[in-house]
Amino acid sequence: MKDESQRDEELLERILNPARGGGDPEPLEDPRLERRQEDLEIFLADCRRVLRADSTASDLDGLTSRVLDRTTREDLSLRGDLRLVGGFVRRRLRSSVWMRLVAASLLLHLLALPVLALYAFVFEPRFTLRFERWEDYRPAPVYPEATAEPPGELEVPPLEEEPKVHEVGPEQVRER
Amino acid sequence: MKDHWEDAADPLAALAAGDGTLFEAFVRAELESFLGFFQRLGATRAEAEDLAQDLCLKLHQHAQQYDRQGRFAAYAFRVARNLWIDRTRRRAVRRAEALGPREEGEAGQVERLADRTQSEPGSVLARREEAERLREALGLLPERQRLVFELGVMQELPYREIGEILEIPVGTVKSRMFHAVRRLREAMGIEETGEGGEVA
Repeated sequence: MKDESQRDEELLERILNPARGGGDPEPLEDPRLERRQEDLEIFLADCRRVLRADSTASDLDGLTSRVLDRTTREDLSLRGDLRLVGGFVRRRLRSSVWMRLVAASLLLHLLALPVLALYAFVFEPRFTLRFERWEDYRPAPVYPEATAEPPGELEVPPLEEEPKVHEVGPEQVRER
Repeated sequence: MKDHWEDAADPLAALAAGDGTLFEAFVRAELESFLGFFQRLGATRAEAEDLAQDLCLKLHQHAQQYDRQGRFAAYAFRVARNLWIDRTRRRAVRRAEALGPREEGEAGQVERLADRTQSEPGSVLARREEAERLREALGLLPERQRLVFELGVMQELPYREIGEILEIPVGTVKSRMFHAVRRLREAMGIEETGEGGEVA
């Protein structure tokens, strides 16, 4: 088994890596190896034929133009930018139904907005909008104002005479 | 893509020197082969178109930094392979979030494909069915084998360049190519199912 895999590895290398310079590879001595190589060659050629047949772009020319527009033919002016944006939007819109629906809804809203504004401000004014500057504006106090004093004079009860206190020096203390 | 774009016809070297005509010719001639490259690796048609476009933009943007020592084809496919890896990583994250684990292993699917072929012995299959089965089998290959098959068989690049592009030794390229071809033949019912996967 090991020999077989080694043999196939070498045959595959022989098929896939032909000698550079176009010369034919040396023929194999063993006819069984020759048959095996032919078998592998046919298989690989079939793979190429089948797998290459279905690998074309849906719009190869369009794709090529898009690539060239962004590389060697890139237009750096505003017009070129707009063309790129326009192309991008067109492709995205073409690629998805949902994108088309969202775009249509957005367009409808944008068109409806001035109509609604006209209706609200011109035909049926239900409210007026006025801007003015308030000159005497004073901000509200941060703390609540103090309560007003009651009217009239306050009744103050007469003060009782307080006992008088005299300072007594040390000499007076000794006399006593 | 073979040797059309080497030496004096190197599109990036010409672009770096201020001549864009070769790059335009390259885009016109090779865009389709890069589309095929990405599609065969598993991209949808729309994804392949995006990737092929990104590839051309990347090549164009980095023309000034292009190192002419290597071959242009190898350089272009290395960029393409990196783009594909980035895309599959992003896609894998999204898929892992959306789906649960695979119910059937890859080996089981290869066997199922082979059974489908053997259930119709002797019948001449329509070309379309054959193509569908081959694409399905290619999709079931591990990515490392699929890349080697794509570069070696479809793009006809030599093993040495495949090794440079994928940053692996030539011996590993040989081994991966052998396993890829063997698994495809098994899936197509051409070869008996033998021992399993690749070690390298």
